[in-house]
Amino acid sequence: MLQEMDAPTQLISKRLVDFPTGGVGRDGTLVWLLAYAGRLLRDFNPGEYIPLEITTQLLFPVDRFVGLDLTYKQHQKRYTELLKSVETDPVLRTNYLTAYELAAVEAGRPHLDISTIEHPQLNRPLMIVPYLYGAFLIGISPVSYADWHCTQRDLTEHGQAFYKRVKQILPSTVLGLLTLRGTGPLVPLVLKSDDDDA
Amino acid sequence: MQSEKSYDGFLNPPGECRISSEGERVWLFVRAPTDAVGAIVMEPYEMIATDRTYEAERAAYDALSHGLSLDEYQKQLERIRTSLFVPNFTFKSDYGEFYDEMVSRPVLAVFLMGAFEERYYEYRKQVYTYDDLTDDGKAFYDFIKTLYPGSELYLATALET
Repeated sequence: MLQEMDAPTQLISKRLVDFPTGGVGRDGTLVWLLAYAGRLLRDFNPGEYIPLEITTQLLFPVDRFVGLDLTYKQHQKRYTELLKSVETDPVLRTNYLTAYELAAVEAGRPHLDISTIEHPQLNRPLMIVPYLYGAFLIGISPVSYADWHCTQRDLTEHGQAFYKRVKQILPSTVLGLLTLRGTGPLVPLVLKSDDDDA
Repeated sequence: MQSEKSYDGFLNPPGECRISSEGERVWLFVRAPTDAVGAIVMEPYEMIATDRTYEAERAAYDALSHGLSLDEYQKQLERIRTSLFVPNFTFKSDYGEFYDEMVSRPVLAVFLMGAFEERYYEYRKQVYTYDDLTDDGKAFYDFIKTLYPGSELYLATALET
């Protein structure tokens, strides 16, 4: 559907992400710019004023996760360790997460985690990106890539300018670049009529 | 640029502080022109209304205080908000219950425009609008509007209690 709409040019007026040429699949790729409330990612002063409920969160099925630039190195390291241990550790083979997903979660906290929130139409766990001042969809590609996740180096000049602008708005902002598989909504929106029909 | 401790962000409080025990937060939502892409997020906790729906919501509230049933009022509220928020049948707890807050239709961006430790609302105007943004805030809003052509922008005001 997105390809029919030529979504990248219709939805985002400036090219902010320099996607690689080529690709290995037609699933598509999304890139989100995340603005974390940095003070909530780390311990903070109990007496320090931090407004309540100043953050939001993103939720998506864990199998759409490709990478988060802030945690990617640790993620890959942990993934390699898990792959080595899979031959000797029977627990991993029965885990409901793949080794790639499990490594992402173990290496990703507190930037991301597996959520206890469930979706009535999905059978995979949801990954949660918490502590967000906000998030911006900055890139849509109709293709998917074998070994690519977005980093700051992959931003265009416009993308770099936007990145710097968002970083300056609220205190202790920590920016992240989240790469996801697929171009559809992060989760299906369930309307009351859908539920009634179910 | 904001100071390290300031959460004022892009907000210009519209009047004198009225309630010092409550704060307020203002979120920018960018509603996608299609449901085929975007994020579904929960409505801000203790949301009053959005700038685009406030007048209609206030009229519905006035009708409630003049005898409209609570059930009909809630249906009106759903209808008024339906371009951005819908009742939540999307996210449920591990106890199997849907959270009470509404959820957004797919959005391309959501961002905290600012938060105050105190509440500055005025009786006839309880939500922030474009005119309540600082010059930097208006510039950012205008930029976001240009960045996502065809999208609808909403400013949602919520209490911090």
